[in-house]
Amino acid sequence: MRSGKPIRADYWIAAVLLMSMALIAFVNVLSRYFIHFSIGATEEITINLFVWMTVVGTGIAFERGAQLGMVTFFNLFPLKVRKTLVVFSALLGAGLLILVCIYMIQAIYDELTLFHATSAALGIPVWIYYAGVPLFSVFVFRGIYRGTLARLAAIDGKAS
Amino acid sequence: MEVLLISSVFLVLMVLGVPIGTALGVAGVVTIYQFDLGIEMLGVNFASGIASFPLLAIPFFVLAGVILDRAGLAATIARFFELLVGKSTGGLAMVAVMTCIFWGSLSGSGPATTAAVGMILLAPMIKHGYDKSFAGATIANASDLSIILPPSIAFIIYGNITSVSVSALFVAGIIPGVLTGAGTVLVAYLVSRKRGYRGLAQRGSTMEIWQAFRKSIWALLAPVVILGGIYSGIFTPTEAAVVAVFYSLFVAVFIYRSIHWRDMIDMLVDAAVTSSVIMFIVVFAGIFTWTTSVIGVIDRAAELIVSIAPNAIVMIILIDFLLLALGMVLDAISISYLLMPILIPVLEAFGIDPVWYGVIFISALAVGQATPPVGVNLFTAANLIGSDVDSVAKEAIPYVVMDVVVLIILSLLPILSLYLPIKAGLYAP
Repeated sequence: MRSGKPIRADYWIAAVLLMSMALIAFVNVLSRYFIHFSIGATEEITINLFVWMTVVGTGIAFERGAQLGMVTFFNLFPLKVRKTLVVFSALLGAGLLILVCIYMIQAIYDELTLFHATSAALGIPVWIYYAGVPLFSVFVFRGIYRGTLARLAAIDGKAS
Repeated sequence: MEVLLISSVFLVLMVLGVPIGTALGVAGVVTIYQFDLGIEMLGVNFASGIASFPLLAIPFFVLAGVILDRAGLAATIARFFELLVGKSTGGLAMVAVMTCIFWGSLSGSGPATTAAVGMILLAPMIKHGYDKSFAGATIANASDLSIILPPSIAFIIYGNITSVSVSALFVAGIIPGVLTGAGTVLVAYLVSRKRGYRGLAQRGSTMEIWQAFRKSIWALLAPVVILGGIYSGIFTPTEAAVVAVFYSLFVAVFIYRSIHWRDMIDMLVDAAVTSSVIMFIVVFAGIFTWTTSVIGVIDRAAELIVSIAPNAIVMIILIDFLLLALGMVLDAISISYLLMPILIPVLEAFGIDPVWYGVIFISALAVGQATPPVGVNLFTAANLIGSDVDSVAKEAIPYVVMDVVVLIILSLLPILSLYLPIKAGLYAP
């Protein structure tokens, strides 16, 4: 990355989210112990940034093939079956995330039209926190796609 | 019918090599949909499964570990231990064990510790005549301590599932972790003596030891800062984790000057990804567990265990064997989510203390991670030395026997786990 190549958007977002979480939480620890003043709203912000960061990070994890799974039996299958399973597994993962997004968008729609709920500490509309999930899911779908291509290529490499 | 559906979907997907998080999520969603349990909550439940303050300790501890790793502190610590005990018989093996114990407590991940310490010490060990499989097995096994010694991600997860104080769990893990560590050093020494693995030729002079100590003091202090804060009740584990992040950053940037600000993005991304891999399992395991509890699987499974086991000791031993078996094929987090919800009512039925049981549960999982045939740490070690898992696994046997002995001692003597948390006022059984 230091080779002068520009840093990818999802890397920037994941890094900024995690750094912000750490900074906000750290400032709160300092203010609690040194000036005995705890900023209650910080917890709400950090845990919601955590949700967003997890979505972005999940995409990168899929792309890097870092998700944990049981490979004991998988490795016993013939290469051709393995390729089918890789695609099958990718479709399931994407399908699961699509469902999460559909119901999240539904929830956001309900908030905008019906409930108008606001968050406990900051009083901002909760749909803003929700919106990060479908938004950043774009990276998950891209990650699954790229990760799957890489795994298929690796299996092809073994075959030849 | 419900039970059959959810468990068969999960098991089939696992066997087919689908990522655990996906398998748990799909099994949960299919069951929720099939029995009309409220699929429209999926989106919001996904977010609320992550948005928890105690779980926030996970990305922070991971980040602190990544920073210390990138700063090259593992090598500094290894050098210090090498000067201290390297001359003794089996010196390098003991150095490896001590570095793993120390590093593992900081990094909180078994495979990561195996990789970090293995990269530094495997080559020198092999050069000094150690059998490479023995060297790999030593590091793989010592690394499994990382999930017993605080700060440990496994304990954060256990606390999240059982609603037990994570601070109490962290402190409870100290004596069992040190005990297992001492046992591992002993085994490394005994095997080395039997095989004639000699120590290093030159001994560190007092001056050299002092210099190495001064060089590694900041790293050696990290667990003191983290654990001291938790033990004295000043910090919650999440706060301790964020303090650990900035402590590591301060040490790495200003004291060792080994990382530059431009490395930051790299480290933040790596930590975000590692933490997301864990959270991807956590969030769908939460949905899976919720589903199993709604359709009554958990109650029935708990009743079954209570009816089979005649008393608490037998129950604990039976579950220990189950954990050792599962630990060979699955990671600690997934196993915790699959088993602990069932065990909570069982613990209550037998009047077993949940903090004490947490230590036993996590220790048994740790042993599983380094147990033949397929513990994850063994795989990492085998990869590093370019050998097959079987030969590393064979060398791991003496360590596993010792681990099991310690596990039995911990199962018989709750006081070893509970003394410190009670003394610190963090827990009252």
